[in-house]
Amino acid sequence: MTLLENRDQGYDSALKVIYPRTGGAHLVGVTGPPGTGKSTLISSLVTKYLDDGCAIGIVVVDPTSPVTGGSLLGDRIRMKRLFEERSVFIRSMASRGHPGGIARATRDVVRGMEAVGMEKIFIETVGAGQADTAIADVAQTNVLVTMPESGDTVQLMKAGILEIAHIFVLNKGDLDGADRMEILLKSLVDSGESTEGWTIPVVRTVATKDEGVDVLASSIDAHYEFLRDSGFLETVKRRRIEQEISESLIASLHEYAKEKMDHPAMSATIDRIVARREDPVSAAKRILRELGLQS
Amino acid sequence: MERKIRILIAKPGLDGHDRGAKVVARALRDAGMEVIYIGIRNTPEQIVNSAIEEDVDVVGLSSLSGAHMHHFSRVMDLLRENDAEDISVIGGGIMPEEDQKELLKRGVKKIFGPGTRLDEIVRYVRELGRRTKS
Repeated sequence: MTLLENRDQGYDSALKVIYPRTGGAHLVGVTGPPGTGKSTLISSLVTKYLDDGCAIGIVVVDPTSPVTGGSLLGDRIRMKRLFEERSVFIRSMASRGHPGGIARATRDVVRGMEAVGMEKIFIETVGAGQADTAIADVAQTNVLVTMPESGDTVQLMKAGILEIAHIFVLNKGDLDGADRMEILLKSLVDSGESTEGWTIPVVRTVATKDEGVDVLASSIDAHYEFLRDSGFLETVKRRRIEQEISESLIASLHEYAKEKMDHPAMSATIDRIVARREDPVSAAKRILRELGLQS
Repeated sequence: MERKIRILIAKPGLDGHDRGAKVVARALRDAGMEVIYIGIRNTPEQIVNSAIEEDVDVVGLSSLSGAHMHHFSRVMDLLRENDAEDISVIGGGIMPEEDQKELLKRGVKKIFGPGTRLDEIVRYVRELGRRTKS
């Protein structure tokens, strides 16, 4: 897991070994603003799934300081009742500068868990802001956790994180203002188009008391069933693979470009461009032609 | 990129004085480490399971209540039983000197007492982490 997270030497071959054993788990993203109860909710949900004899992975991401590079990973503390469960594996990750609410290596750590037989994997994002939607590229079912008093209808109309959710959770449902928030969320769902035939459920929970968690678990399972039956799961998987190949290609090209710039021959090209005898775009195209990538 | 040092900070047993553990956790965070903080009221089993799942380099145990001999020793035993002796254990808190000596004998790397400077702890953990990584 550490090797996958750090992309240490041996990463490529490790990925090659585990890859055939991945792709079978249901990946559930849990996102939402800080302090809405994501970790506690996962803890409660997982306890419920354990009763069904499921092996469960949990990946929790917290932010890395842009100043010191350090991080305090404090999600695990909410999951104490799972620490001694043999069929649960919890791994904390720091975002390590990756934007969007998860770490770059989150996808690979999830794969590590799939490879050792985890059937359901919960991925908790950092306390997310409106635009933290990277989880949508990793998880299959996205749960957005909100709580009472977190905004009016205009807040809820905004683009971003609300659009990637398949299930809305109103946690801390025993607090004042919960009824009003529930109405707002429900009217949001009613006023929107259903995406590919799935209607977003609004589930009210009190994670600290395990209330409403049964309903949430059923909604999560129902969404997975919907994905499978509609064939949409396959589409999503193919789209992700496409995206990953493309990312990997871009990364390699990026690497190549850096090497190319450091090459002594480049300074002659730069001289030419400084003297306005060539322009940067033509130079780049010429390099691509040399690689056989451009006719 | 230099590899991140990962450290688990926990308080075993029922002692609820977590100020010290929190201060140390923050100092290590500010020193650029990844600190997994699991707070108060942990059993040695919970601590060791967490340390293994998180693949930390170091476990930092804090104790003020006097139950350190039992809990720290149990953590050491469990690490051994789980083939996880490569994880270093350090301690902090108030412990009689003879207990400290005995714990060091049982494999605890170092005990920091009251009045220890934070930068001393940071330096020590960094050194430990570096040794584990190589």
